[in-house]
Amino acid sequence: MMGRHGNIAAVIFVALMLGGPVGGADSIDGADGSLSLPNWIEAGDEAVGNLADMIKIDTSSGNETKVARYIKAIFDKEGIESEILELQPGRGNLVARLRGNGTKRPVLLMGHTDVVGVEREMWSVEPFAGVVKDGYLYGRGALDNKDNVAVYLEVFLLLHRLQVPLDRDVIFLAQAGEEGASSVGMGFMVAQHWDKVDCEFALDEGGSISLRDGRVFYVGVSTMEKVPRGMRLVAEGTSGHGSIPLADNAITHLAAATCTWRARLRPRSAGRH
Amino acid sequence: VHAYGLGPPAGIEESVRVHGNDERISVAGVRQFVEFVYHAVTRVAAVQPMASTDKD
Repeated sequence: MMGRHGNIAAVIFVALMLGGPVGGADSIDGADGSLSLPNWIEAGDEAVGNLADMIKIDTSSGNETKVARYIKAIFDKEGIESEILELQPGRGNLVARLRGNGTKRPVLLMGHTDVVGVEREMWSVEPFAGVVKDGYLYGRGALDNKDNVAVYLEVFLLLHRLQVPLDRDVIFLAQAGEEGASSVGMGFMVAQHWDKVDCEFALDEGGSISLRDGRVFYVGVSTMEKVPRGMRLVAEGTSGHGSIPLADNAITHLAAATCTWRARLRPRSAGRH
Repeated sequence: VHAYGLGPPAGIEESVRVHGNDERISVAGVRQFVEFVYHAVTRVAAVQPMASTDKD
């Protein structure tokens, strides 16, 4: 339904354009039906703090349940019901829900808590310490994807604290296993807990906001994912032992073909996938 | 389910570090992303105020 895609994307874009300045409280009484707005400074501080704390939990080899427990402790303190669901020990998914009036179907806010590994000797800072330096928060998962988890968590908390009246449920999901093991994460949730994540649409990772001179230049909202594309290459050549490479070995032809393909790749630029 | 990918302010200098070394995010960007997502979610999930019916 392209129309709905367009409408929601437009809403997201307009929301950014209309967003208030980053700063202090924008408290509105609400007597006229308008929403109370958060204290953006406090909200930002909390999100950055949670992101740093989650970076400190090394989830490069699973252990997503540790992050799930971290988030659950926050929810417990706030009085928000949540649960951790595991297909395999230690690979937990956390899900929570804020109830709306049921007029519309739910929206799902989701991010993944697992990260890829590191070559620690290649880093200038400890990758699991949540180091802040020169205005940047460093660490594995800072941009993939504990940032989305921390920000969606913060928004979820704000909706709860401000008691924002909702006409659809808002679901929060911190999923495990996105980096190559989705069977314990989203695959598990869809297969065995679909009722807990069923929604009209989901907000996930993938887009980015481009700034020019400190102002929003454009907002990239991804609507699809790249997928692996297998390719079968067949080459023929003179056979022989690998320790004595020949110019017309089949593997030489395959290597040349790979290099030719690589040379034809276009450089990355805005708007190109 | 329609899924949309959102992300914080990030330039190529940040993007190339994903799955690489010295992965990082702008602290100011986290703050902006919170505000952006909050507005986006409330626009699509919050009960909207009734539009005025005044004709004058």
